[in-house]
Amino acid sequence: MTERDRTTGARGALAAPADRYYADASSRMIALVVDAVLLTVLIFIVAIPVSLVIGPAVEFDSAADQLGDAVTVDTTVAAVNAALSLALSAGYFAASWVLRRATPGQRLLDLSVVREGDGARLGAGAAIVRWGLLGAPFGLFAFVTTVASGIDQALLDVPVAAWYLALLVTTARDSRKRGIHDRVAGTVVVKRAVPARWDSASAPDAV
Amino acid sequence: MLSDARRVPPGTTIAADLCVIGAGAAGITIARELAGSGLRVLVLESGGEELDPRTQSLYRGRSTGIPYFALDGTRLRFLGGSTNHWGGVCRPFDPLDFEPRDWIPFSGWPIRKRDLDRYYGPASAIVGLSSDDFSAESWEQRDHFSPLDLGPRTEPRVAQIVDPDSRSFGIRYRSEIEAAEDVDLYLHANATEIEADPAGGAVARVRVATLSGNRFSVKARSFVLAAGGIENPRLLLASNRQLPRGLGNQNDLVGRFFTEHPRFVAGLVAPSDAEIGVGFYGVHHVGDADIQGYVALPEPVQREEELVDVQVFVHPTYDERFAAAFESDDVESLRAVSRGQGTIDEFGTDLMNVVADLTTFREYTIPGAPLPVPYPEIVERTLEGGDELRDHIPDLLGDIAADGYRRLNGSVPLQALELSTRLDQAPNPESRITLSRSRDALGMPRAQLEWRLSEIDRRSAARATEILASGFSAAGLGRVRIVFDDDEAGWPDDLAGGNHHIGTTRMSDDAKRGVVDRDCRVHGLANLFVAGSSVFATGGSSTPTLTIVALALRLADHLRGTLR
Repeated sequence: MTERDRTTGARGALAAPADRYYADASSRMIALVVDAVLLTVLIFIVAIPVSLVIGPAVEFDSAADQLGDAVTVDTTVAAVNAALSLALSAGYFAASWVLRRATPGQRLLDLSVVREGDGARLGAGAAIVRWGLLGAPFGLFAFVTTVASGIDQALLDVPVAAWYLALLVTTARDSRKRGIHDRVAGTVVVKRAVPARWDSASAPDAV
Repeated sequence: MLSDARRVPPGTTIAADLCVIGAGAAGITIARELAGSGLRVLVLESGGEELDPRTQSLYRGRSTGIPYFALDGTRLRFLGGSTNHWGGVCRPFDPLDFEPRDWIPFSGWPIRKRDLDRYYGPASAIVGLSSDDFSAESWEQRDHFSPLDLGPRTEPRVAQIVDPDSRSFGIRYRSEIEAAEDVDLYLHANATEIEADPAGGAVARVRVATLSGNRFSVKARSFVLAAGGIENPRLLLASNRQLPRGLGNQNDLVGRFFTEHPRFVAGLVAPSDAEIGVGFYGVHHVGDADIQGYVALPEPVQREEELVDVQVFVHPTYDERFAAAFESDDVESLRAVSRGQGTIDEFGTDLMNVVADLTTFREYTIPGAPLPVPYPEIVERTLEGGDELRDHIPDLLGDIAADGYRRLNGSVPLQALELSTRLDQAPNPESRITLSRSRDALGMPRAQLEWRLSEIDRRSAARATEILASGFSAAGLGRVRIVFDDDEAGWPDDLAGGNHHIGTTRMSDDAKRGVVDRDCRVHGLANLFVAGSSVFATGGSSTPTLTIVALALRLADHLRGTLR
């Protein structure tokens, strides 16, 4: 926690108990899973025209009898899909935060991502930085394992899992529930419904 | 107690009530049964507590008949004997096994199935089975798989399989033997000669040698030879100081009638339905037991057709991709991880194998999607028709998924069914163990095996396959191609034994037809008994270990009565 965190944290904590105002790690995880599902559906839908335009990503060879020869993936198509997936992911998260303060998953759980300090909407820069730390590792990891053959996928699972664990732990342990991604992007996740029941003047970070 | 024969003062004579030669399934069972009976039991085990190549090489010998396994590879020579590597397959013999069958020369035991019945229950527990129920009907009722309906001229049978971790008698009973005060088991103790008294009517002592050069003797009131179906005749034949032809060999029967359970692929079934359920014929769980079903000919058919007992195992063969998946390291690793086997290092490797396999499908998912979603082409194929995609399960979902699919479904699409026969080889006096001229490290003549089969064995295998073929055909289950023809000059290339060494000191009330009597006592010697499958008069319709243990229990009862 930085000196500035501690100062602002103290202000917020005095006015509104952190555990009732800042979104807890578990509801944020649920929101992230909902977003993952929606984004996956979106990516799948986009993959259909991609395969129609530039050709199928997967070829089947029914006559093959060697393990692994029966199904082959076209690396070029895979790379296009990967790039599109990353772009869709960036657009999904960043646009949601910038335009509506919350992704669809976060709206479902009444959460908002706001700028730390003044509670304002995120600018494009902060949104992209936050996505880069939270949303991108999924896609980048899948991209690397697809394009760079020969890498043991299981070996890459470990750093990715460790990264998400670090985000989860830092979020859960912080008094204002700010994980590494929040601290770097200068954001905080708040419960949207709560400020209405609290005196908004006493919740400085509330909108 | 466990003792080391290498530390016995040289030249000593140790006295006991009973001396048992060999600490395998039979020897350990007898020692355990007599522990606490007031009798002093001494057991001689050639090996130590684990495999040692020098000791193992004492088994080395020649094979001159039908090609056979290397003699030093077909048995294990350390505490627990060959239970240290056995397959754990158990089923009692059938009543017909004990009866004289006039179409099978030399068939018939002096005892009947009912004489062993009361020992099979305890024997089942001793070998590590949780049940002594071997009735096919009873298992079928509890089994989620069913046998194929191949008509009334065949019958399903069920064998129980001992869990691999419980199979070794050495591991299972070591601490019990160590704690038994009246049982003294000497490791590294090789019986090199059973010495008869000057009159030749009883055994006086056993000479013992260690590979370290120590020599001593054991005197006892009775002796049990329990060293295996090759070593038992070898030691009797080599013990020729008083009786030049060897002990118990006055009628030239010791070592003769070497019997195996020969096996080979006799037929291939092209199934009418590639998804025919054959889970019953693989090793599978029913309750807390592992069982395996197979097909055989009922007693009336054996009588009518005048055949030896033929057991037919139904082995599915799969598309190469599935076959490779079932045998892959990843599936093995999952088993090891779930059973908690192996060292820490192996655990790490196994875990990585499992994780890598479980993530195989990622290669076929759209990269960049937060959740694994297959490419549209794969989804399209799945929706179009499951069958073709199902063939790609190992490629798409990995080996563990393919193996799991087989377990859930009972089978995967088959290429064929192999009909693998196992015969109750007819006794043949020309199939035999003799002594070779070469000697082992202890100066004992090595064993020489001449394994021979008979015409009835060939005819039985061929006829049983034909009967099964009719069964498959009549039931509309498939077409059978018989790959073994009884007109062929030789035996099939894949002919092998089951590492079962039977009949070399066979049981008969008539000293002219057998080496031991119904009490397993060597004819002509008052105090020498034999335990193990070498006393079987015929090989039997099942694997031998359960019957070896049942006979050992019966022999222990007899010894308890006579030695008290």
